[in-house]
Amino acid sequence: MKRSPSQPPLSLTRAKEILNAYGAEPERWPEEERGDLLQLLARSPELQALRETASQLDDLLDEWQPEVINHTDILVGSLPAQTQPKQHWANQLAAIFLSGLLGWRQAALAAAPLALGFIWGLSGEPPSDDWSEAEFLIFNSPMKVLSDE
Amino acid sequence: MDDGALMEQVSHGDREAFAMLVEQHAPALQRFAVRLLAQQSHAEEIVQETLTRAWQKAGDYNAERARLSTWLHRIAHNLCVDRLRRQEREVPLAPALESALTARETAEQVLETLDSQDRVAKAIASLSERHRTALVLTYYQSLSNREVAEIMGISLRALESLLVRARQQIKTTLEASS
Repeated sequence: MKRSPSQPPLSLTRAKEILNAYGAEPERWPEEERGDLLQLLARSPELQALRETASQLDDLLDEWQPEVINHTDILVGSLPAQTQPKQHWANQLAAIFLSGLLGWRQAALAAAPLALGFIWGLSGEPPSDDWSEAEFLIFNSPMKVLSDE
Repeated sequence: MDDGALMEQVSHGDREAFAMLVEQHAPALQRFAVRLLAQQSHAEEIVQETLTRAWQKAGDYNAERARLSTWLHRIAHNLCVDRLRRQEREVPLAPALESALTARETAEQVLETLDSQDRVAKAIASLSERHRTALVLTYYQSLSNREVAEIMGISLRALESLLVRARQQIKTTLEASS
């Protein structure tokens, strides 16, 4: 990425900040300031000296290369179940709505035998209007019913 | 295969694609965790946990938002920070120094026997967690300054400030120990 024309030219102070923060290697410098810093370095002995100091520290840092142990087989052999990816809220809403529709279908299916039973009941003989026996049982205590018998 | 295509396959349970991911990214993640935690065994656990999460959450990865390397480093970084905060407040020591200290040698004797690699490891281990993270991610992990700032959740200015302090402190520590 190159510096945009509206950006001010790289100052000496900023060039020093970059070298002190990122070290001597251009590939670690901020991409948009890399070109300007290289140009500035070419004509500034002060910056060149600073870069040399930074380079010495870089060389020391490069000496620490930890050993790497390969665990690919163990990792691939012991993988747990995967989780579902996060959905957009609209998709989640649609999923809830659709599952609701499925729920209604299941409920309707379950209610069908009840409805059939109700219709069957209506189509049979009308119940008797003679309430005398029921009234007798409701309005008399069990002991009285037994003694009357 | 690009990051998006690889993670698409991983998200569908493709173990071969996952093995490819492990081979491509595990070495860098392991070096990152070792440099941050200064303990090989803890680092291996972090790498295993990071890649297991990548497998489980592969469907959440969005190649338009971040490189896979950045996404994985963010997971590893969060796990390392959790681990460091759980540990006692003692300064983690580099493995060589740690084993040497258990042999009850004096600090001077230990420093004499350390090679320069161990001295660098010790100097990095002596940094605070944030200074160490900034330095390790920027210097060793081939991530851009913007990616590091995003992983750490800080501004570019704050990152640069951490880097300047970290490099100054390491230089001072190494000069004192040489």
